[in-house]
Amino acid sequence: MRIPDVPDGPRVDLDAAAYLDEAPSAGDRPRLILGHPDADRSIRTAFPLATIDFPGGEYCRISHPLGVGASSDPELSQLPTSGLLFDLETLGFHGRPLFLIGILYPAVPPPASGPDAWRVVQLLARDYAEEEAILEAFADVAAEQTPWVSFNGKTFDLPFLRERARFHHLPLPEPREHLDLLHAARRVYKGVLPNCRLQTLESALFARYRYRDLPGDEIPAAYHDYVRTGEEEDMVRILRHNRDDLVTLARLHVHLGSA
Amino acid sequence: MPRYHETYPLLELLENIARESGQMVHVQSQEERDPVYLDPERPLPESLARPLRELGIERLYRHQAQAIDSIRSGKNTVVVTGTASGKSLCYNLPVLESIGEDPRARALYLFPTKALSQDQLKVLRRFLPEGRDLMPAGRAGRGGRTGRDGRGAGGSRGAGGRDAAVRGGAVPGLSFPGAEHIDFRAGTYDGDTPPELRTRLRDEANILLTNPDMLHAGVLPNHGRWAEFFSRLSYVVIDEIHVYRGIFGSHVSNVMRRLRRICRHHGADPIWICASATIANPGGLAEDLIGDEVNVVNEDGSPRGRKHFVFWNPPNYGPTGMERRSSNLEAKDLFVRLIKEGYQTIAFVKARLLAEVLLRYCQDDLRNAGGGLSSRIRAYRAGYLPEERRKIESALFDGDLLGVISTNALELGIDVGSLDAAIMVGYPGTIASTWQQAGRAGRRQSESVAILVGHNAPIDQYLMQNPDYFFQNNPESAVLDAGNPHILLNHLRCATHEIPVPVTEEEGYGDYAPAILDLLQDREFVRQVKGKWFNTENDYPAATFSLRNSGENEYTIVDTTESNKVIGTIDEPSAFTQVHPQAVYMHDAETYLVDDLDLSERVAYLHKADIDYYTQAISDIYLAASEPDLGRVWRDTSVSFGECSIHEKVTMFKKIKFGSRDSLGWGNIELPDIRLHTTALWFVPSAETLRKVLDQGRVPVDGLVGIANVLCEVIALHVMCDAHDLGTVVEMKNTGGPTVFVYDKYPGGLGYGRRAFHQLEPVLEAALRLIEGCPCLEGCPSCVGSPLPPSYGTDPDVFTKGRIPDKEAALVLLHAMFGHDDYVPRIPLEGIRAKRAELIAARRKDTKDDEVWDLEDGESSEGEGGDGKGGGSAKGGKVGHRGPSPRARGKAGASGGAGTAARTAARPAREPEDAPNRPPVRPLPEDLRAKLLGQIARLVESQPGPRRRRSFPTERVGG
Repeated sequence: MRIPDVPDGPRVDLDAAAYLDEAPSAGDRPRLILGHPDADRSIRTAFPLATIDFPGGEYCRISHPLGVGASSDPELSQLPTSGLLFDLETLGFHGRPLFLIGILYPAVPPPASGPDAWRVVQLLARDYAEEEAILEAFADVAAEQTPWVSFNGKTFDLPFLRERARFHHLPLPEPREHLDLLHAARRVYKGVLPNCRLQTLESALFARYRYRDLPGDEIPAAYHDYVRTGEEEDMVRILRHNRDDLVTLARLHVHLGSA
Repeated sequence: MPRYHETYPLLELLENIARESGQMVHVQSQEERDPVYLDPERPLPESLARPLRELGIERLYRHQAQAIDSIRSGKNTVVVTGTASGKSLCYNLPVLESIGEDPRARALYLFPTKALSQDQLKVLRRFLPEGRDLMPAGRAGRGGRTGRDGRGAGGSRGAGGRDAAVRGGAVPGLSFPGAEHIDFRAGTYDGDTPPELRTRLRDEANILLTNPDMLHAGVLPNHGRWAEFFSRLSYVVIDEIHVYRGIFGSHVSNVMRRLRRICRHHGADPIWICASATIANPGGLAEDLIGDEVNVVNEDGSPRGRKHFVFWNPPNYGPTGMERRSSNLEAKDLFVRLIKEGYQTIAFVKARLLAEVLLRYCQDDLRNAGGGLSSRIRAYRAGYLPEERRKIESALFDGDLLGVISTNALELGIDVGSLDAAIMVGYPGTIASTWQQAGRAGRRQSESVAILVGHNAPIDQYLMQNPDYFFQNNPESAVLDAGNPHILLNHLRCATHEIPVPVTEEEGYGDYAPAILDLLQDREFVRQVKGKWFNTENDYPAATFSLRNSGENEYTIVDTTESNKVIGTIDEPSAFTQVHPQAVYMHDAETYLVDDLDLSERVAYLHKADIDYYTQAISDIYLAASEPDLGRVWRDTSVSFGECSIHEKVTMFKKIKFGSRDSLGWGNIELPDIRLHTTALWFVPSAETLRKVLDQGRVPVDGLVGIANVLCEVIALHVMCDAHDLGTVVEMKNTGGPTVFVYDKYPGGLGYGRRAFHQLEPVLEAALRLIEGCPCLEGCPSCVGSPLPPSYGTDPDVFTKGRIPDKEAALVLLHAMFGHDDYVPRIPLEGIRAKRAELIAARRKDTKDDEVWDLEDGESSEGEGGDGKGGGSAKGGKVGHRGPSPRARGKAGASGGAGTAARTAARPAREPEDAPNRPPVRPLPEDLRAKLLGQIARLVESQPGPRRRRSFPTERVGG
């Protein structure tokens, strides 16, 4: 089954989603602070366009091109033409549902090769009952892509996906190849950086910082609130957090040479 | 060791001992019974028949064959037969047979304790050939299957012939290498299982042995990881189901319902097999427990040797003839004598301390007798480390140990073999448990004896005088209530977490389930979405409550004599009475002096010391009631329901010299109270009613104690709990008049008192009928003299000074309360009780009526007095309630294209909506609703951190 197309959200310059901060000292990369209101706005614009119904389930799909800035970005411009980067947002460590699967993959047919071909697609369960539909949608997209790229996905994301798929009695494709960038990053930066968390790498390697980011441990509560109240505000922050993670994952993918 | 059975038969021996003082007041003899054999309709496969032959079993008993037929035909089955009748074969054989047919089949065994799981694992090992491991390390270590990789391939490899052979049923003469035994893996999965073994057990074990607590908190919430296990689960075995009654049973029955849903979710529909000791209603209990129909197999075909049940009353002595020799010393003499004669004997005592003291006395006596006998007896009780307990069990089984002095810890079905004699020191409290303990004695080939030694207490003495009461009455029924709203509330949280619950299934959980779910939704624990209930808590609901009403806190006992060494464990209430500073702690007849009890680390430090005394702690129990939530006047009795706390304060200890039992002095104990905050029903008879009792020369409080004891039993029946789940206190500090309190022995209460409040008239009517209808004269265990002590918890070490209930006064009270014609006592008060009544009557002349009662209230609440009143500070009620957040209506679609506004993803603020197919919700009674809200509020409070923490850092930038 193919995911029906939904209109893309407006093209947003990736780094237009960021403030340009003053460089701390000459020669440094300028500090980019993620979380510009424009970013939220673009997400929010894409949001209402994205409801789709299709046989087997209803869920929400938010789709963006990777961004105008991508072709001139030192890392993103070198993204290969194939692969599937993914990142989950869940309601706990295990035994809990997941509600958002962020994926970054080259759209087909490609409008162009190179970074412009990539798009961020976020599969969102707007309530607990839509989990099955986003898992199905993910299985559909992911089956065709290789390699799968994740951050700590071998330990967390993939087993989690498997468990949830089993819960819903859904088949889940296994990756032909799976690159877990946490392991790659540890090999290079262990002992160099204070830790190898994604946001540590993000600021140390790519000089990007997050403004009003929603910390991971608050995400479940924010999602429950969203389900209860339907307030977009909560959801937009989760979506942005997830998208920022994906973009950093993409940069890291190139940076670590695994691409 | 020589045995003298032939020359000095047991009964003759006992008769000889009793010749002078006539202690042997009753003998009930059970004649020998021959085995009744039966073959199953279809023979067992050779792979099972052969190991059975090696165990010396050529044929099966009738009940075993019937159970196997029943299980093979796919029926849920409960087996109810005597101790040591071979119950475990009833489930092991069909389970192993199914594993022989499908090596991927799984079975789940549930036992109430870890020790029983261990014991049954040993039994299973006998079905594997010598040297074969139950959980061989490494996947290659196994011929038939190579673990995970072998899945799906089933038994297609290597031993193809084996599988064919086994499927063909009986295969006499065939001897494929694989057909000699059934290849299976098994292991115990509980708190003691190391993590790496846990994963392997989950993935590989055919038979998983665990307990309901572990299933509840460790397995069901993670059923996703157990998908393979559950999808292949073909049998659930629940042993010792008679333990699952009352509160514990109500919890476990809910766990079983959750288990059943999870099996269904993973596509399995297992057969349920239960085993029970003798109770009045095994079939009913099993059906309540598993929530399905059950076939009862109860025709015990096992053989029995001749067995005598002896009632042994210690002799009278002293000038008044009212005193009796200590039953403990009497039991000691019996025990020592039996051991000397070479009879393997177990003595059951009701307190851990007593087990140790008695052991010491017996060892002293046996040491004098020589022959090394003193080293062949041990004590056995809770608090010994598991390894030590296993050692004692197997030494008993092998016959290395001749005698054991045990608490009821050995009452459950751990296999220690059958012994020659069982001595019960004091009536164990219920008919069922007396038979259980007596069942420890029972040789197949020779005679055995069970001896009940009576305490000098009303119930015991009643039994000594009326042995027929015991032999003619059925064992007690076991009752549970899966639908108890307070218990259900917690399990609905778990169920919605495990698998969303469709609204159409709600009612399967009981009448109030839909309303409880609504309540949980109001408080943001669950949410109904598209016709299903989802759990929205952050933490695992199963981790927030326990299935048992006993406290969780466990203390470690550390011996510092040489280096720090853990010698045992002890629960908190017992720690306060047994390992307080300066206590003498006894372990395997060694004496230790306690140096320190560290409450924050939960450790008791002690060192070996040769001490010639032991210590006994004395505690006060008092009750502090809050302002009642509900109150009314029924006829002229004032009745209330509300919150209360039961405080148990350990105040001092006595030093008692070994041997002479002289008191050597006292010491104070400074420890915090042990508190149970719960709910209670209480009532105060009117002054007029009380006066009628006094006019008859009786003591009202003695009558109320009798009524309170009856109420435990009667209310338990009305509200479907076990009598042990209720406690009673009779006192007058809280209301100013003599008051009966009946409280739930469970933190927060479970609504028993509330339901009794609403049903007071039928409850008291039943109590009156019961007391009136009882043929006894002065009270008996069936009526006012219930053996249940009015103490918190079920710890046998906690004794409270018992007041002797007065049946006649109880009848005067009840008649007056109902406005019936005055009841005139048939028998006068005698002896001391008459004196006491006279004294009160005399006092009454000089004092105001109100003060009369004080004289009689000296027992349970002297210490702290009544100033604990109002101690229920948690009654504030409003704590932690969270209303739904204010819903600023989302500006959905405002910034989107106008044309697509209708398809907005961010839907507007949603009122919880009921699915159209949801059945109508039966509303909760207002007072129950209030109590459930209180329970939820306490949950919110006890969870670490607020449930909704949101941060909006404004300036925090970067990492």
